Amino acid sequence: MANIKRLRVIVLAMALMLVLSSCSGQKDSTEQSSWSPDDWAFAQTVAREITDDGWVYTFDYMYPKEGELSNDDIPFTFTGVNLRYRYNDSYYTISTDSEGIEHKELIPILLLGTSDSEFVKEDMLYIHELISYDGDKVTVESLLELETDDIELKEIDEEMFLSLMHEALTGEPHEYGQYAELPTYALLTMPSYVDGWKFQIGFTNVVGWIDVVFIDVLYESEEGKYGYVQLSDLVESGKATSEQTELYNTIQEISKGIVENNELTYGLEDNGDKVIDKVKLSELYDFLEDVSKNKLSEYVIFY
Amino acid sequence: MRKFKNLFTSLFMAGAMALCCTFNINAATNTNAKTYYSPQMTAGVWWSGYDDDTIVSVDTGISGNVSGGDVGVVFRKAGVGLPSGFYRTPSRSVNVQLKENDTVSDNELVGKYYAEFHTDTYTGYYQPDTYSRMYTGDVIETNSEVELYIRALISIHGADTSTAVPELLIPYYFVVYG
Repeated sequence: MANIKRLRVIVLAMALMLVLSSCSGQKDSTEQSSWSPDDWAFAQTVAREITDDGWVYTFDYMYPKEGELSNDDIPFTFTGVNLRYRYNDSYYTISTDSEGIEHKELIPILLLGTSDSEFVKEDMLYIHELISYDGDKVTVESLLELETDDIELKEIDEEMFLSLMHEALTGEPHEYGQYAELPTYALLTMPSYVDGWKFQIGFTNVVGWIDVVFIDVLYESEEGKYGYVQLSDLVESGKATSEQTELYNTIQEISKGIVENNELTYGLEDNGDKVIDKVKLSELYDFLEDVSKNKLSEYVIFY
Repeated sequence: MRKFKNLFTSLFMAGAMALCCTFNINAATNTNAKTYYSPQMTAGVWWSGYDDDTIVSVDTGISGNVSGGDVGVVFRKAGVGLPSGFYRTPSRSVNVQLKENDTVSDNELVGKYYAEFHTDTYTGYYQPDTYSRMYTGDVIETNSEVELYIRALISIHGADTSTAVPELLIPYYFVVYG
């Protein structure tokens, strides 16, 4: 009888612990959602080529974790986005006003294929048709058989394209991250200058993992074509002061940490109070915090 | 009586819409208009610019009655990519309703827009393809000033991990035709 009572007490205690642990595990509604791999019905493998001038070329292979590809899938994409420079006079849209006058408008993010280069446009169209999934004709196997002699690109590097495609189609799926609700790409900028500077953040996101980040400081300047000069350009051209170089290196470390740890506010404790070249890193972390919560509209450059 | 009136209005609108043509948007006039962006939305749930107070007054410059064919909405390329939590499938679509805010009677349905998601021909990104438009030939305003807003619905797919659509996904602006 005493054993039964003891057993009851143990069972009750265990139940109480379960309840308490489930309560403590409840998330604050303002927290970023975290996802477990089981939540994902699909896997994604990406191969990226990142150039110093900010271009991120990507071959992306997305497929259901269970079952075969079907005509209800769009498994293959090839894209290019620039995360370092927002403007380029060769990238624009044209609109026509009520008087029939055409207006050239710069676009707020550079995407491959919006260039005025007819060759790039033709290449992107060619690639679009090459990898458009058609169950019987375009398959992983058929794409893997392609060699440089089999394709004809005019401006996009054929070897880079094939290399990315091969890597994506044969690689391991990317690890899942906590930022499933963030855009797959974005280039964001603080809405106004603080003492003549502001931060710009560009990123790409695959299955919730921020896997490429470009953080830069824009210094308000009449010397810059678009009203500012970028810290990364100052460093690259050797015009940066020692403080600016220190700032650049710190930002590079933060960027690296974000990608490696899948944590947008990586390094906050170490760097949050730093002020380098009058630039407050607390502003960067406020910005990153907003991005992590998907609060983006404040940081968008409108057309 | 009110129910009957609403039913009659709905039927009349549906009839008027059916009479109007459907075509792909490939040009628009006076495109110097300000661009607006959709806010954070939930896929599978209608978002309305009316609730967000994104109601825009547009001076059509038209003397007399303004009909649904006189005004429209144009969609621009998205400044952000649809999140990874959305599975890429051509069976995803976006439905948009263009409405005119009316302080006197019910808000009129000006037109409907529909697009399926595909990879963009030139950028390779997964986003709404060309929108088709269907508009009402009915009078939506009796003076030149119209107050426009949109409602939008992005469909969901069984393989989606998330339903959170980020801000900025649907950039759009209002236009006056003709």
